[in-house]
Amino acid sequence: MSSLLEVQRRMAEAVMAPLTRQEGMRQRAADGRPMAKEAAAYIKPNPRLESFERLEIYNRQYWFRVLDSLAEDFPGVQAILGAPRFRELSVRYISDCPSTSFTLRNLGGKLSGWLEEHPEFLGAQPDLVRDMVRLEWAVIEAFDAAERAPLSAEQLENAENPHLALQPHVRLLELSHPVDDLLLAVRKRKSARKLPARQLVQTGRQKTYLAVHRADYSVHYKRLEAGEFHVLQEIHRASPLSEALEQAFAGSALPETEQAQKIQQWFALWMSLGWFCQV
Amino acid sequence: MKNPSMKSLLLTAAMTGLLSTAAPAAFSSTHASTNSNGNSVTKSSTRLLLTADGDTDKHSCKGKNDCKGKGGCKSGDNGCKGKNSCKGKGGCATDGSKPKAA
Repeated sequence: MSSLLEVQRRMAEAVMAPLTRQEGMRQRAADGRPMAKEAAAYIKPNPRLESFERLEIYNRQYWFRVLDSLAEDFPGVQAILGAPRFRELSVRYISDCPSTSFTLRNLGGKLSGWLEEHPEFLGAQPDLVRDMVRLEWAVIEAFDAAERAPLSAEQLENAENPHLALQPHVRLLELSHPVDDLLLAVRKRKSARKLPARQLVQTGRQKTYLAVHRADYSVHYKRLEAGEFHVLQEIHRASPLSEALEQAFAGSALPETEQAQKIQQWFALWMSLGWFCQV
Repeated sequence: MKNPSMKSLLLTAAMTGLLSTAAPAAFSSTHASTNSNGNSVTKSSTRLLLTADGDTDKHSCKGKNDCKGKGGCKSGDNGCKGKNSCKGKGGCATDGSKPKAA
């Protein structure tokens, strides 16, 4: 055994190696080395535990922690897939994308992209799972994303065509299912049991536009009209206000006065929610 | 592409909306009173939904700044959660020792 760095790397590899079905440490490493020998290389036994057993405690606690963390962050996905399939997904995902951050908050950040490369884990309703993953990750981001000083009326008084900016905690989602309602139902059940098939079928396809945002330290969803979503999306892309408004009623037959009325109501509400901040 | 007068009308409407609204604090007071009663908040004929009941999961520490910058609310609460593997081995002590009696 040479450097501390080498010990750290070997131990990290052992700790992050998947568990057996019985939730114990595997007898052999991925390259076939006996784990008892590997553990003995850098962990002393004591009168109570062998080196293998001492290393196994770290191995198990790593997996228990990351699996619990992922299940806690994605209860909706778990409810759709059922606990056994979610567990399989989690072990494979965490094996491919292990925790590399100081915080477990970031553990699920690659799940959406990873699932595109592993569609076999999406189950019978792949688009529903995709939508739920996006929503649950947006909730995590909205929970602790920055909040800047909201734009004040005074800052707008002399602007004719201002650039607005959305608060960093506002997340805009274009979904193919109303998974916001489904996730609320899951949270009310307070159970990891799979949702009844009837409830999943009821969550049929329905174009859903959603803002996930934070107010008073709580995360909220807000359903949006298509026009609202597109205006906000353009603002998020840093388009000037006049260009963002172009997207509101593209192809709509709504009378001009009613369009103006809606725009006024939307902007008044967004302003009241503090969604705008200075660029 | 909208005609210039329509663009102007919508821009005026947006600015009117922006300037007609009081500070966000007005929302905060409404929201805070509703938060303790349930999940739905009605504001300006618009549905807002809390994503979680107040007593569930990591968001139970929402509003407590001690979670900020310390890895969310995760650290320390999941170590042996739901797993009895540590029982009889002195919690999670990695030397196999038993905890001292209280």
